[in-house]
Amino acid sequence: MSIAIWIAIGVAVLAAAAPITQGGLRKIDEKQLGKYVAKAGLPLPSHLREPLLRRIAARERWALNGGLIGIVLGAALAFVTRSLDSQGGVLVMLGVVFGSSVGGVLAILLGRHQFAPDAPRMARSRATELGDYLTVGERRTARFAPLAALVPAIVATLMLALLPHSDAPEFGWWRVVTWVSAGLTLVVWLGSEVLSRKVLERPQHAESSLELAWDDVCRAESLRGLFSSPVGMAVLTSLSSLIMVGLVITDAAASGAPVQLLATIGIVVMAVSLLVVVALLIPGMMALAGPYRQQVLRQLWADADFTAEGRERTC
Amino acid sequence: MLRIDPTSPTPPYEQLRHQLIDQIGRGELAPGDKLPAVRRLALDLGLAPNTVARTYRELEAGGYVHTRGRNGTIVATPDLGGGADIAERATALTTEYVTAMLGLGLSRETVVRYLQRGIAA
Repeated sequence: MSIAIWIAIGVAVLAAAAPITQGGLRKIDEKQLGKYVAKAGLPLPSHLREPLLRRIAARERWALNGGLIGIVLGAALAFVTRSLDSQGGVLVMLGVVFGSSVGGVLAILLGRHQFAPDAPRMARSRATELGDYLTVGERRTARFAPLAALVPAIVATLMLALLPHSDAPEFGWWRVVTWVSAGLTLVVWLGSEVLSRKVLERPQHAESSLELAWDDVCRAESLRGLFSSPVGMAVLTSLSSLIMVGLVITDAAASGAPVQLLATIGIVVMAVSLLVVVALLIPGMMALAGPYRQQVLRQLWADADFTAEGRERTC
Repeated sequence: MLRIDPTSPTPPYEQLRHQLIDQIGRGELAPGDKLPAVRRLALDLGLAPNTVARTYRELEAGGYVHTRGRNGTIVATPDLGGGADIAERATALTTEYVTAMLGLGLSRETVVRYLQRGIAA
């Protein structure tokens, strides 16, 4: 598949990262906003609608810009390395994943807020931690990602060492991508841990406990996006290991090797890669579909009663 | 939750100090809970860092919190008598008992009445 198609796919994936505001306040997708509010389980009175939409728009705008920069850098790297087909597509998708998740976090790190002079200021009396925003499963999965990326890369390399023709130059690119991706997973995870601490240090500006709770929801979304980067990269590493092995064992030069050996190599690498992908994706999907995310945040809001604040001029 | 009202005649420093002492006294901030970093709380509330730092210092002088350097400011175990070791054990036992009683669906007032009856027996 040509890189132009991969760029188009990347842009389409990116558009899904900004479903509510598309980065601006002119056109709001009310249906998506309604789903977002329902999922958060918090009331949204009319006076909080604009502050919430500003937060969402900032996050989505930064995610879009970050993702676009990621696409440009990925495509540029693909052109420089003359990888203008599916190999370049991996670089473009890496750029989308990484760029949009970092962009979402930069919205918090670089955001500026002004206090209204006479408005009350709310703050938590207890320091917040990562565990207040992300489920245990999400945190463990992100921490497991570097190992998860390394395992299929190592297994694929060891298996391919049994096939002399795997050293051919035409497979070199995939070998490089697999190992660079595995290494980048570790770097990205470390970067996520550092950036998440910076996010937790950033102030939250709110005039009511309900507005603070909505800020928590936005903050949790950004942190979730950040920690999805190492997970996404580990999945890509796993898949590129699988593709690398698939290309080698189906190559014409493999006809000299015993069929049983080729089959064993293929099955082992496929099993390891799929196991890794499933282990990485299941906690994320459970967090997405289940109530766990909200349960984590609700512990943060345990002492708050939003009923009175939510009753005023409800949307 | 802390709430600073800039229009209040009470200075922000006093509002902050009173609210923290009140929350520690009512158990909303339990021993071992970590308060926000000085700079973070100052930015959250639009106060000068020195104002928050002064509040934390006074709370520490009053025995409400203790500062562990880079590990932040922690709510102290109240010394209700018996020394630090006994206070820690007593707090743990009390928390365990109260949690179990509340888990039976009893109100706080009812728990206190049971406790008083047990002491009187």
